[in-house]
Amino acid sequence: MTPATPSSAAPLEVTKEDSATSAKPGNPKGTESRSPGRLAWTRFKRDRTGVISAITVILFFVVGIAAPLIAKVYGKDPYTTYGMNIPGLFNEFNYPLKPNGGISSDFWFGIEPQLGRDVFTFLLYGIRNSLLIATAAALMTTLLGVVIGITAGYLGGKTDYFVGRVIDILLAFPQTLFFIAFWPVVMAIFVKPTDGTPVWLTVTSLILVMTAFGWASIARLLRGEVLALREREFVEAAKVTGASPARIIFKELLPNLWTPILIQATLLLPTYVTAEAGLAFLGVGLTDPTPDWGVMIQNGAKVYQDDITFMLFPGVAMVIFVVAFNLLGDSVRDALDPKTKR
Amino acid sequence: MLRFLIRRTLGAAVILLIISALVFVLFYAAPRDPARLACGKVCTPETLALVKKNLGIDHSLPVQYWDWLKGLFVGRDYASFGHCDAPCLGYSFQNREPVLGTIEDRFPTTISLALGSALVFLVFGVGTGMLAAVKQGKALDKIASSASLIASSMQIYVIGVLATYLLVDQWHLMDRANYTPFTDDPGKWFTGLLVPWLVLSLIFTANYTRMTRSQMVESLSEDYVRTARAKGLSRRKVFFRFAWRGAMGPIITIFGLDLGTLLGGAIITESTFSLQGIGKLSVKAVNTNDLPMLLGVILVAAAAIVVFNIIVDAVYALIDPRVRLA
Amino acid sequence: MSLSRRNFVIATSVAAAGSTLLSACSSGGGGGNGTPSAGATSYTGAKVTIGTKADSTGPAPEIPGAKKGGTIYGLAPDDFSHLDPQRIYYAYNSTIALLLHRCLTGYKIDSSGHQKLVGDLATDTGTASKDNKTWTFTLKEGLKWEDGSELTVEDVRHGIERLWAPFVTESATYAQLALTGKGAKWRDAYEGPYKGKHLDAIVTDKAKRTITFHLAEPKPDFNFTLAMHSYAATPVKLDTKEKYDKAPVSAGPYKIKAHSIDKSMVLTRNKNWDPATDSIRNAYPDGFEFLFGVETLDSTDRLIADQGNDQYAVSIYKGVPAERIQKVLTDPQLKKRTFNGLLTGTYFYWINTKRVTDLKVRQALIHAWPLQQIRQIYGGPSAGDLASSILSPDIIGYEKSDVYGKLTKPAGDPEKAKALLKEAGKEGVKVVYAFPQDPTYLKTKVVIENALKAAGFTPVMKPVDSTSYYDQIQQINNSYDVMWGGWSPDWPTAYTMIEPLFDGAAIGNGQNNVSQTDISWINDAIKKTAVIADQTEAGKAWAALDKKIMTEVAPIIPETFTRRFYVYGSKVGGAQFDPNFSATLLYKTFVKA
Repeated sequence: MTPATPSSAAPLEVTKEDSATSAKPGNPKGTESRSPGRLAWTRFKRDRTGVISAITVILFFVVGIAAPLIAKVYGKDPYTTYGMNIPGLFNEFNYPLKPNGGISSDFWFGIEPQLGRDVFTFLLYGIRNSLLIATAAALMTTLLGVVIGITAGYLGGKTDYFVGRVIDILLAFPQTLFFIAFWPVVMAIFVKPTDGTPVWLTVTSLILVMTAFGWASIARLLRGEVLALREREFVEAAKVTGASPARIIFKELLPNLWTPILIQATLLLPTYVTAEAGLAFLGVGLTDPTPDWGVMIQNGAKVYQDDITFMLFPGVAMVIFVVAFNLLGDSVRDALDPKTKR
Repeated sequence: MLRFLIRRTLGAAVILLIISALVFVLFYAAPRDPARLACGKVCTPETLALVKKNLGIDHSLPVQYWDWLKGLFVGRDYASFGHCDAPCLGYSFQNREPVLGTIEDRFPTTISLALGSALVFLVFGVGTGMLAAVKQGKALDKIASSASLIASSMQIYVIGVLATYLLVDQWHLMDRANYTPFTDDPGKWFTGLLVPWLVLSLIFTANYTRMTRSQMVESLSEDYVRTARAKGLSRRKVFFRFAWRGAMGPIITIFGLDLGTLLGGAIITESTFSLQGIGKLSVKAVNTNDLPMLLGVILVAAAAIVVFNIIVDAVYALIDPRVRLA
Repeated sequence: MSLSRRNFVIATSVAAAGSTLLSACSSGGGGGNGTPSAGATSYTGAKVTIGTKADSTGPAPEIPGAKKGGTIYGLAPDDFSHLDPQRIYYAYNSTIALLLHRCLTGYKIDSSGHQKLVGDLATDTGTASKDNKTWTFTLKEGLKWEDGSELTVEDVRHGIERLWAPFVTESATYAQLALTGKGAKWRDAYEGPYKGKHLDAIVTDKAKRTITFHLAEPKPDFNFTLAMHSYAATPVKLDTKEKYDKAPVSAGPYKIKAHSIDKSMVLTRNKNWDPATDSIRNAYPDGFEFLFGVETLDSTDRLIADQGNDQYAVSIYKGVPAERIQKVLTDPQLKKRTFNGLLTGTYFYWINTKRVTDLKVRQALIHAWPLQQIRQIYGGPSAGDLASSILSPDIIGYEKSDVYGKLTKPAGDPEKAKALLKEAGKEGVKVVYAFPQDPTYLKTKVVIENALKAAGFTPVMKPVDSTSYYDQIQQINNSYDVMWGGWSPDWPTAYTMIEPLFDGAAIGNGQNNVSQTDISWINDAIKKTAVIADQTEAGKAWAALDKKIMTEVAPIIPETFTRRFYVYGSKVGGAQFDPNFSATLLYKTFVKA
C-alpha cells in the first residue's frame, strides 16, 4: 500500500543478492586468508535455498538486460499489435480465439486481449523496465539517505536539526495520495504541450520522485546509528589523533554502517518493484505502449474472468521474483550474521 | 512527558502547515482550473468569473491561502454557500458541502477498515512469527515464512478482485464488501468488512511474521534470556515472560506507523472494494480538481501519520526505559 | 446531453479499476454487424416524432405484466452532481430528474425505444406563431407539487427566470439566448427573479393556465428546447435558492426521502403526483434506493452475480465495461438480462483547421484513420457502429453518407492518403495528435500512430491530463492538430450538433468549435436551416449540409456511434434503454413477481 518507504525499524531482516560484493566492504583490512567475507561466502554456498534464490534473481536480471536480444531471436517485439494485424487470432470481442490466452508455437505466452501484442516479449520488456526503475531508485535512495543521514548525524547541531525537520515533513506526507495528485504537475513542468512525453522523462521523473520520498527513513536510521557510534571509543581515539572528518566518516564510521545500509538497500528493491506496480495502478508512471510489469498485471486483473492466462504470466513472475529476492535476502543475512541462524 | 507531548504537538502543527502550503502551491502549478468543472458545458468568461466568485477562488494565490487558513480558526463566509463555522476546511468544489463534514462522514469507514485489518494482521502476523521463531528451522517455520512471503508479493487489486469473485460470487462464503455503521448493526458491519480486512491484512501479515520471527530469534539469543534459562526457568516461561518483551519494541513502532498510514485512507483497497472511505474520497478529489477536499484529506492523512508517530515514540519510551524522550 | 466534460472527468477516475472513459462513453459491445455469436441486436432507431394532444394526455400506457410495489435499487459510481433542475445539464443528472422534475414538454418512449415529443406539464407540444418567434403553452389541470400546492404557470416562468440567478452557472443556455437575443451577454438583459422583477419576454395568464414566450429570434424547435431539464418548473413559494440544489421540490412521481451525499439516496412515492396528468411516466415501484460509489466493474459484477437485493438492481447510468462485454453477451442466460442502445452523439476527431490549413492534408488524415482497429480496442463491432458523418442516427433527417469511403475501407487507406499528401506537397508533415491520458486512448493511440506512419505522416502523440483535457483542447491557441472528442445533441434535431461544432460564432476559449471552422457559407446555411419550421424539411437540409461540410471542409474525422450495454437484476422488469440520456429508463422499471 504505502510505496517506497522501507520501515525504519526493519533493519534486522534480509540482505543482498550477491554476498561476495556485499561482504567485501565488511573487511576493509582484509589481509587474513579467511576474512569475514570469505567465511560468509562459504556459509552461503552451503545454503541451498539461498543459492537457488540467487540463481532465480540473477536470471530475472539477465532476462531483463537481455530482453532485446531474446526478442530478436524469438522474432517478435512488444509493440506490434499482432492480434489485430493477423486475422484469425482474435474473436469479435478482441479476445484470443485459441484457448489459454492464445498460446501457440508462435506466441509462447499467448497474446494480449484488446491490442493483441505478444505477451512473452511484453513481459520481458516489462521486467526490464520495472527492474531498471526499481534498481535505480533503490540505489539513489540509498545513496542520498546515507549521505544525508551520516552528515546530519556526524555534524549534529543546526544541520542535524534542520535535516530532522525535513525528514519529519517527508515522512508525514501521505505519499500515495501525493503521487496521484501531483504527478500531472511534474509532467506539465517538464514537457512542452506540443511534444509527446518521452519515455526517458517518465522513467527519470519516477525514479526522482521515488527517491525524493524514499531517502528520509534511511537517513533517519543512519543518523541514529552515527549518533551512537560518534561517542564510541574508537571514534574518540581517531579524533584525538587528529584525523580529518572525512577520514573519520569513511574509515571509521562507514565500515560499521555497511550492514544496516545493505539491509535497507536490498529491502528497497522488491518494495520498489511492487510500489511501481501499485503506482501504475493509480495512473502514475509508465503507460501504454511502454511495457511495464505493473501495468500488465493491472490489465490482467480486469480481464481475468475471460482470460486468466493473461494475468497468470506477469503475476506469477512477480510472485516468484519477490519471493526469491526475499529468501535470498534472508540467506545472505544468515550468512553474514551467523548468530541468527535458521 | 508533558513537555515532550507539547513540543511534539507544536512540531506537528508546523509540519501540517507546511504541507498545506505545499499542496496549495503545487495544486496551482499544474495547468488546471477548478472553476472550469463547475462552469458547465457552455463556459463563457463571464460565467467563469461568476463561478470563481461563488467558489471563493477569485483572488490571488496568497490571498486564497490566507482565506483558507483564516477559515480554520475563525470561520469563513462564502458568496454562494453562506457561513462556514470554524474550524472551516472550506467547501468542496465538487459536492458543495463543508469538507469537514464529508471527512467526518467517511472517517468511520476508514477507521473500521484500518482497525479491523490491523487486528487481523497483528494477531496473525505476530502469532505465526512467534511460532516460526519457536520452531526455528522446522517445517512449520518454513511454511509460515514462505506463505507470508508469497502473500506479501501480491497486489491488492489482484487478490481483492479474485477474493470477491471466489469467496463472494462463486462460493457464496462471505458477504460482498460494504460498510454498515457499527452502531446500526454490528453483525452487518462485521460481515461487510470481512473480505477487505482479510485481503488488506494479507499484505501486512507477511511483514509482521518476518519481523516478529527475526526479532524473537534475536532476543532469544540475548544474554538476559540465556541467563534466565541458565537460572533454571522453563523455556516456556522465558519465552512468554522475557523474550517477547524485547522483541515487541520495533514491532510496536512499525505498527504505529502502519496504522497511521492506514487511517489516512487505504486508497487501493477502498477503490477495489468500492468502500466510501478517506482513500476513495481523496482519489475523487484529485480527479475533480477539488482543492479544498484534497487539502482536507491530505491534512487528515498527514495528521494521522504525525499523531501516530508521537504515540509510537511515547509508548516506546514507556515500554523500554532505556529510550529517552528527546 | 452532450458527451459531457464532467461525466468524462468523473469516469476517468484514476484509481478505480476499469472505470475509464471507455466505460463512460464507449462502453459498448455485443451484437450487431453479422456477429452471430454475440446475438445481433439490430438498431431500431429512436428517431423522434412530434406527438398529438392525445399522446400528451395521461396516464402513461400500461406495460404488460407490470405491477405496482416493491423497491428498485440503483447502482452508480458517482452521486448526481445537481438536483436543482436549473443546474442540470449533464445526462446522468437527468436520469433522476426524470423522476422528480417536469418540464413543459417531454419525450414519451415506447417499449421499442421509439419516442415522441409530447406535452408534459403542457397539454400539447405548444403552438408557435407563423414566424416561430412566439410560443404558447397551456398547462394541464391537477398539477401539484409534493406538498400539495398547485403547480402554476408562474412556477414554470420562475424555473426559467432562475437561470439568471448568480448561483446557476451550469445550465443549458439555448432558451436564454433565444429570449434575449443578446448572445453570450444574455445575463446582462435581466437581473434575475429575486429582486421582484419578471422577464419581459415571458407572459403568463394564471386563469387560463397559459404561458407565452416572446423570442428575439425565430426558433421552430423551441418546444424541443423546453424539454431540457434546465427549463423545468420550480415553485416560487418553495424556492430555497442555493439550497434548492440539495432538496428540490418534486413534481414527478417520486420525492427524495433521504440523501446521504455521495453515498446513497432513497426515493419514495410522491402522493401528490396524479398519473392522470402524466402521459410519460409509469412509476410502478413504491420507491428507489440508489447506492453511489460503486465502481462500474464492481457494479457489473454484482449485477452478474445477481444475489440478494442486487436481483432488484439496475445500473443507473453506467453501461457494461469492455472487460465484461464478452462474458455478458456469450452467456445466454445473462444476455437475457441486458438491453442496449446507441448513444445519441458521435465520437470523432477534431482537425484544427487553423493549423492544418490544407484541405488535402485533412482529407488524407480522414483516409488514413484506422477506424476499424480503434473500434476493435473499444470491444469490436458490439462496441458501436462506425461513423462516416457528423450527424448521428438518432437525429431527425439523418442520412448515411460516406464521402471518404470509410465504411468500405474501415482499416484506413494509406495509399490514398499518401497520394493526397503528395498532391499537396506535404509528405512527411508533422501531425500532433492530442488525446486524454486514459488507458483506452493510450491503446487507440498505438494503432493511430501506426496508421499515420504508414500513410506518410510524421505523428507526434500527445497525451493530455484527462481531468483538464477538454479545457486544454478548447483553447483556441492550442498547439494540437488532431484532437479526440465527441459531441451529442441536446435534442434530436441537427441544430444542436452542427451549430456548436461548426458555427464561426462558436469559436472561443471554452467553446466547442474546436476545429475553428469559420466559413461564411456554413454560417449562413446554419442560420437559414435553423428557421425552417417543418422539422422533416429541416432534417433533410441539415443532412445535406453535413455532407457538404464533410466533402468541402473535412473539419473532423467521424469515428463511431457508440453502443452501450446494460445488465440488470433478474427480478427487474421493464428495464429499457433511455434513448435521450443513454441510461436505464428508471420510471418504466418494475419489480417482477
